[in-house]
This record gives sequence, C-alpha cells and structure tokens, in this order.
Amino acid sequence: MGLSARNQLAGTVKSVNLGTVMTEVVIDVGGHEIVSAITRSSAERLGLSEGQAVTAIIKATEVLIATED
Amino acid sequence: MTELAARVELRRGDFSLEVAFDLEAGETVALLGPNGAGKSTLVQALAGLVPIDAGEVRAAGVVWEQPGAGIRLSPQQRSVGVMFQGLRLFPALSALDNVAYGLRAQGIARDAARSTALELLRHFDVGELASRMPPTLSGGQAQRIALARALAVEPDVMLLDEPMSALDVANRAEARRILRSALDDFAGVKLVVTHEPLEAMALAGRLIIIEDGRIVQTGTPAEIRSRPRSQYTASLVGLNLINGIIASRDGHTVIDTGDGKLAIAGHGLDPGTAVRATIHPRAITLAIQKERPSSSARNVIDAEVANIELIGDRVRVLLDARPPLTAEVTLEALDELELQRKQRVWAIVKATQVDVYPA
Repeated sequence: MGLSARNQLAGTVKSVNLGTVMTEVVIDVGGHEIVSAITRSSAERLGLSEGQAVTAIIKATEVLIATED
Repeated sequence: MTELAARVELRRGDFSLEVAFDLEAGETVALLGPNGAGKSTLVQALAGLVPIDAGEVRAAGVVWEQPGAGIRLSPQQRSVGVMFQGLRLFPALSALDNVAYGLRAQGIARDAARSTALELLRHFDVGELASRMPPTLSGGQAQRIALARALAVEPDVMLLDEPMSALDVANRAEARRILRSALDDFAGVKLVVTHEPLEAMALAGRLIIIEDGRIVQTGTPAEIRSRPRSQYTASLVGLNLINGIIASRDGHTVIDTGDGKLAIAGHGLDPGTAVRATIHPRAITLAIQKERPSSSARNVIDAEVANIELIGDRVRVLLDARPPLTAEVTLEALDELELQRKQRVWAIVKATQVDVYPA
C-alpha cells in the first residue's frame, strides 16, 4: 500500500484488551511490543485476535527519540 | 481591576467595528486578526484619532469617549501612549524632540520635557542618538525611539500597533527582547496589535481574536491553541477545525459536518449536540491506492490533493475532501508517494485523534 506513514511494521497480535469504548492491542514486532489504542468498534470490525498477522503503522512525525545519558 | 473598558461601535463605509472588552492593568493582551479585521481602526479609535459612533471608552476611571453623552477627549487629553504601525516618528524632529513631543503637548516646559526624553532614550540605550533625525535611523533604533515616545507621557494605557513590522528579520530577536522588557516594566494596560500568532503568543498572556470587526474568541494562548473557535484561529495554530453535530452511524458516534461525517471515539455526547473538533495535520496519514485501505482507523476519507505547501522541512497537503482537511507529511513521504496536485488519495485519521469539544 502506498502510504505516507514511514513506519510500517509487520507483527502478530499478542493480546486484545477490550474496554467499553477503547481497546488496547499489543503487537509483537520481532520480539518488541508495540501497543496500539484503537476504538473498540475498530477492533471488532477487524476481528482482531491473538496470533493474527497485522501491520503497525506509525507516522515518522509521531516518534519521539530519547537518548541515554 | 478593570483599567480599560472599551465598548466600541463605529462604521466606515461598508466596514463596521463592534467590539467590547475589558483590560486589566499589568496584563499584556494581544489583539490578533487578519488584515482588514479592524485592528488598526480600533487602535485609532482608542487613541482618539477616529471618533466612535456609539459605546464608551473608559480608562482608569476616566471617560475618554461616550458619544451618547457628547464626551470625546482629544488624543492629548487621553492618558495613552501609542506605538504606531510603521512607527510614524516625526521626520522633521530629532529623536529627542520626538520623545519630548507628548510632554510638550501636555504643556511641560521645553527643557524639562527634553531632560525626561533624554533619560528615556538612555533607558533604551539610544541616548547617543538624541540629535539624529528619524530618516537616518535603522529599524531597530527607530523602534526604541518609538517605544520611548509612547512611554514618555507615563500613560495609563499603551497601544502598540504591529510593533515588529518595521524590522527586518535579522533584528527581530533583539527587538522582541527589548519590547518584552519594556512591556514587563510598564505597569499599566498593554494592548499589542498584531497579525502574527507567534508574536502574539510570545508577548501576551491573553489574546483577543478579531475578524471582520467582531471578536470571535478570547483566551490564553494555550486555550486558543487547543480550542480554536473559528477557521482563522484554527489556521493560525495549524489545526484542522471541524464544526458539526453529534450523530449516530451504525451505532457509532460521528460528527455530521454537513459536508461529510467523521468518526470520533465515544464521548457520551448526545446526538444533536453542536460541537467543534480539531485534528492535528500530523495525525492524518495519506494512502495512494485504488481500493479503500483497510486498517483500524475509522476515518478513511476519499480526497483530492488541492495544494502542496512546503513550510521549512514540513509538507502540508491541502485536501479537497468531505470535510476539507490539511495533512502534514515528511518530505520523504512526499517524494516516495510522488504526491501532486489533483491526485486522488485516501486521508486516514484515527477516531481517537479527533479532539471534540462543545461549540
């Protein structure tokens, strides 16, 4: 897909925690966890479940960088 | 304590100005608006250079103008210091006599007026320019002399109309520092007129936003930034502003803008509630493909690229869509997607990135 978001990380769904409005989805990307907060209705529409292959999309402008000092 | 209470109504040809506000001593307030909004007209009215048709202007307990009662003080009778747009120093008077002018107009003897004026010039580090004529001064020097002139009469009210406009970019940081320090030292009412949001937010603790002769919003810079109430204000702070009504679509909460619908995360808002919402341009992702992209994002909006603006290293993509939106992407994304005008794209926005507040 031609997408302006620079980061498109393939992973698998590790957990789906449904809330009343929001849903927290943890995605395993090569051993690192990425947490996504999406609406519950989106989680249901996508039928997200553990082990499912997904892509985490993060705009480059949204990534903070911390340095060790 | 309210020190300047202004209720100003005036008409000039097709343009009408109708504003009301109270300013307190010590606070710096910025009057912000696009060109033609009536900012300079308001300054001239407060300074007594243009009569008002109705209302009242009162400062430190003194009525300056009240057409209903036939009261109208002359500019010299008002305790006001004005720094005009373009500074407007008297070209035929020396720097010293420019600063002394207001004192002389108040009937103070020449030597005493000049001595006070020289002190003020020294305060602004331009004592050595006392005998210079305005046409020989740089923008930064002229700014200091105009500031000294506005302060010379020890006014209750300071009006500064586009105080940075006479300066070139190289001198701006220094000029802003001097202006800021002069404003901090001045204990009276301070109204700074500007069309530059950064200048307004840097100098003022409170903003009054004026459009077409009417106040559209007042608030602290933080309030204006997070809760813009007009398209002009939203564009100042770089946000997409959406006006609409809460509605329900397939059991989900959406904003019906009258020009497209936007999904929002549930806010417990009743259908029919009038709301505004902002979306940061960075929160919008663009996709180029035939089919509607499938993702968790609830808003996938069919759009056409209306324009592409480069702002430094950022790219703003204006989208013809329902509703119209502006997205911000990186230069790399622009190159990779080969974005161009008229191109069809999908604008993708998470419902959680739509910040909703009451209209």
